[in-house]
Amino acid sequence: MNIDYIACVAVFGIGLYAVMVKRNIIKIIIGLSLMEYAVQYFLIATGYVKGASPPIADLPDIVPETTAMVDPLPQALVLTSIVIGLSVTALALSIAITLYRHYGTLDIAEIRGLKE
Amino acid sequence: MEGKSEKITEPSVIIKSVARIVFPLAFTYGVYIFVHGHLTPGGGFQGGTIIASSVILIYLGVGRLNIPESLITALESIAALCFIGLGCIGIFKGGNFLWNAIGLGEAGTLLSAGILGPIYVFIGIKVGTELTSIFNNMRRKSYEY
Amino acid sequence: MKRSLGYLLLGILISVLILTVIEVNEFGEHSIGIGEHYLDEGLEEAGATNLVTNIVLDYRGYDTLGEVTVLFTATTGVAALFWREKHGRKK
Repeated sequence: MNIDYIACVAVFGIGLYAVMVKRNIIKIIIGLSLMEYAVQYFLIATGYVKGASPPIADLPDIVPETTAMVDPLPQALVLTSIVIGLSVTALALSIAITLYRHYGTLDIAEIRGLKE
Repeated sequence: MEGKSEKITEPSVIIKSVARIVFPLAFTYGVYIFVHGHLTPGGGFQGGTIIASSVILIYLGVGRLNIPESLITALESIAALCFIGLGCIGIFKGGNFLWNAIGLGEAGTLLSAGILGPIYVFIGIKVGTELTSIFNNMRRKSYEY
Repeated sequence: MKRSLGYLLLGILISVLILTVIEVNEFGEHSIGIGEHYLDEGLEEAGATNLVTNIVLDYRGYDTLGEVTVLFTATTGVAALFWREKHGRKK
């Protein structure tokens, strides 16, 4: 009954609801970011070991042979994923600014209606 | 849209002076984090983000930065080329791309771990200038005061 | 009608995800697979005391190269979207 993993799925569900239902572009972009952060947090949380220290060695005392350390592999992969999430958010916000300058509104129902 | 009249007031003296004082301290802290990337927690991406945050503080508090934009984009491209050049050292010395060709040194000092130290320096410069350029493109130019 | 169908599908997806996530290992007890090898051998094979830097730049260096490319592409895309406002039309 892992309450931490269920919280990750709940945040993912809130983000998905925001992308599906809301009509303002900025709220859709916030929902997209929420989904990405929920998945990244879940990936890091699977690597946790109870009572262990961060994976930084401090040479006379703290070496990996004697101290229990947290798994370093998910942390290295999520670092890349965070930067990619930043790139997606930056490009999506630029498209939103260009849409606002062209159509004058941020409501996607009106923008879709203007095309016809 | 653009034509609406909005009153832009200049920020107060407190914000301008504090932004000018905090900027060199935050910049030095960011440089410290990516230079010591192989010894302490942090690294290139984190240090580059801190540098970009300090430059955004200058944009919001003082209004403009007196560095031409072409210099920032040129610095970003030079840092990317240096990163690939450090990777090609491995090809010349007999191994693969991105092979640790220089000697490893003594673990725990600043000049250790072969090419990992200089690679993080170039990545830090690249990420910092890139986020600054993204923000510079997105802001409205008529807000300069 | 379409709206309630959307909500129903969202509910089914979230419940399937929750039923999957309950079966994973208990939070805090991790069976370290290849992370064990990176922890033990990393200090002498790559030389950096920060073991995460070790993985990001030495064992998985190509992923960092790909990520630097993605960031560069995003910056170029943002500059391209705002080009006309800076330089006027017919350029």
